[in-house]
Amino acid sequence: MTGAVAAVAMADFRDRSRRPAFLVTVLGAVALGYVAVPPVSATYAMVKVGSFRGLYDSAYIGMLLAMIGSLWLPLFGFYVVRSSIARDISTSVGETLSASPLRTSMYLLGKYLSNLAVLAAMAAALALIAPVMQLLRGESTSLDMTALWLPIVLFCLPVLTVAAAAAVVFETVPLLRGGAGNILWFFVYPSMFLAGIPLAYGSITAGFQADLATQHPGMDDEISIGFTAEPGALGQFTWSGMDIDTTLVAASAGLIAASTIVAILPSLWFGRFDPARWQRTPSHVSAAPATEAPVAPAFSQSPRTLSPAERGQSFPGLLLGEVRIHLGSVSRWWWLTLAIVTITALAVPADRVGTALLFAWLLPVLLWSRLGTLTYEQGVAPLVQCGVSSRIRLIAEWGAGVLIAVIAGVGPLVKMLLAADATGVAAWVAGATVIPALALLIGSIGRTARVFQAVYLLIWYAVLNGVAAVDVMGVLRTDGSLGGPSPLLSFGVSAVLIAATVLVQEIRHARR
Amino acid sequence: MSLPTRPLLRDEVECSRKVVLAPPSIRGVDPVTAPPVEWSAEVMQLELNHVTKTYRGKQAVTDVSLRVGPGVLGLLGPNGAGKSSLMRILSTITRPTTGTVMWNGTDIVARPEPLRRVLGYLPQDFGVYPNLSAGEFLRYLAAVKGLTSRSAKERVDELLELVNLTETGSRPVGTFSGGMRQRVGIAQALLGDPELLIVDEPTVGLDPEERMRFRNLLGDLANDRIVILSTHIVSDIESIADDIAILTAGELRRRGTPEELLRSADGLVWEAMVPVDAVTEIRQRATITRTVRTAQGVRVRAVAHTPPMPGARPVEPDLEDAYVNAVHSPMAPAGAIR
Repeated sequence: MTGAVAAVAMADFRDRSRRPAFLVTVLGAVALGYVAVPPVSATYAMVKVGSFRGLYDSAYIGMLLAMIGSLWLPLFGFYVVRSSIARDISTSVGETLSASPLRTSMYLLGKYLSNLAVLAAMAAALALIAPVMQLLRGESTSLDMTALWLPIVLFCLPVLTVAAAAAVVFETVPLLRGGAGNILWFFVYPSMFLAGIPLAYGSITAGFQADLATQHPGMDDEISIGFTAEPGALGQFTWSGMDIDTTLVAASAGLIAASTIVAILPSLWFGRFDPARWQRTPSHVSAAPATEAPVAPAFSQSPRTLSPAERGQSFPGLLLGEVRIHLGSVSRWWWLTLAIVTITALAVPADRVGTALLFAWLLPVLLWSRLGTLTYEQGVAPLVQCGVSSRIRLIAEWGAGVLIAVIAGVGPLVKMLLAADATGVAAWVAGATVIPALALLIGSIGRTARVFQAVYLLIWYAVLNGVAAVDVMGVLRTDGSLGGPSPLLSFGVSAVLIAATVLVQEIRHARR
Repeated sequence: MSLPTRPLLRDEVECSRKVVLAPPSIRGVDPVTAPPVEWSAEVMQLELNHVTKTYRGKQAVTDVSLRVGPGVLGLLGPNGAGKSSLMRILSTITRPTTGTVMWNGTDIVARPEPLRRVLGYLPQDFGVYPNLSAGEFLRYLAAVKGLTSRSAKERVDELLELVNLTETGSRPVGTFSGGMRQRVGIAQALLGDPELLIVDEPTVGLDPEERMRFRNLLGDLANDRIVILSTHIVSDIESIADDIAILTAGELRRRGTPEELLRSADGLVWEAMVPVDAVTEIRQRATITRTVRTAQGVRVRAVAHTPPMPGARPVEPDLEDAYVNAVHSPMAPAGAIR
């Protein structure tokens, strides 16, 4: 069975590593390593102790990258690795495997190892950039490869096993298989990370604080890991490095073992690709064997009896079709949640309507994320590509996105209209146009829903945390004035985004 | 219609429909440089001139030249022969790497819209929006094809009846069986009342009776439009195609009427009763097209230039023999067909 597990893992890893997206992912990890070690002049920090950071020597850079890698690689790596089982469904490889003697637990273990291999490749990229960054920043030219790489192995890799296992679990739970799982992970993982810092990095952060207190007595020593804007350069302290003891190694090994067990746990409920046990119908796969008994034999009439095809204004039909396509997958729970959010928005005080809008426009993120992607994900592209109205179809698809924004944001809109809040209404309209336009462009370029989901959630999270620069919804207000971009600017951006989408389409068409 | 200035091909003599030109290597006539054959202006025409398609250095289609008029053109070839690549080029989804494709005199590589307005295309592989009903899905595609809402509704209702999916009502397409989904695909290809209908392996998933009826339907449609039917199932085209092109390894290997293709295999088809253990040896000397096990041994039918087994007697070729001969023989000389 070990051979079978290795075969599943290797085949999956080979398939993924030969896709261009894999290279992009690894380069993304390299970029993260570059950004994580900012120059002296940088106005941001990713790890800091009060208003200090460690001297860029091997020990500090190794630990800095391990910490940053532990936060960001699992958070975004999860989205990279989570389609492994879904791919086996769409390619029907899963059905072939399920008819083999391969045990479900072994299959899941293989998928987990493949996920881990992809994530480990990202960690390896981070490790490779570590000595480069140390030499580039030039604060210490003495390279200690053990000090640089050991933290990544001891801290970062075990955390990556959590993401690898979570990806397997999420793919085997119907509710978490789709975009809802993507959103959940975006909120759950950072919470898990924050909760785990004292356990995983407790001795490290204590060492940071002790060294800071010795070298700069009386200074603020609050630890910050993630991303913070800094008005000026941070002070420096020299970290004395970490002590490796058996407890640390045992904790890392324990986390890996726990993740491995979690990864094979779904064998208790995973249905081995039996379509009858999948709630949703994936593309190209019938949910259940459909009987054709009630249907009479086809093609018994002459096609000459058909009425002639009249061509003309078809935009209303296109728009209606796009709305049906994008809203057709919505469950009754979505509508129920929307009803609650809408009623809440109508009930809250007028000055809180922005927050209500923020939450209302979180609901359609999965629908927006499929703008520009659904045609390709569902394999309908060959049917629509030889249609006569590709530009009009794009506009109709964007129109469907706007309509979704209207449906989701109708509660806050009514509230603002009742309060005669013209500024809020203008920002609302601008938001309803620019968000679908952004989704359509991102979807048209990447042809995957995940990129917009990640981008939009980052924007949403930033607005929730008061970053006005990206507040296209008009949520953040100061004395009634908009904190973010003006609606006029948002309209302009919408036009540019749509034009860019058309351009992408035209370039693709020209290079077809 | 003025007379062509070169010897008439049989199609030109017998039919007032479009003439078929094979590549120079087959017929010794360059369809581009040869004096043009004139047809009446109202007759539609699709013309491929030296079309080549290369994917990452690998040639999927190599120097294919064809001129096609109303009727059924059966495009035969083994898997991987380049049929689907050629279909995608004709349906404007893919551009040829070199060469031109003209629709009624318009270059569809530069200007695909005139063809798209009159094109019906059924790809070999296509998906559906699984949450839409057949009617909703077809109405959406009708809008994509530029049909007015009123016309879309009429035609969708009629086509659902034609493919007998009316009773599926609001049932999502995602729950359809393969055959039902294929019928939705066929219906969408007919939505725009196409002048050029391109169907790639259309009978996949259809039951035998549906296949027969569908073939009749294509034949009916082909009276006043061009139907290009790509398949690797010889029986799908032998009853309806009056013009057959055989593609192998991206190249046009043979072109002609079914009768001409049959003649190309005259004297090359053999049958004999042999012991079971002789079949493997025969396979090395000839291309076996059929074997039937009997109590006396195995009746083997094979294509070869000389008798491939002791006691072999020549038999009349059928289209499958002719196809196998075309696929497995070296590039045929021009005289092999006509």
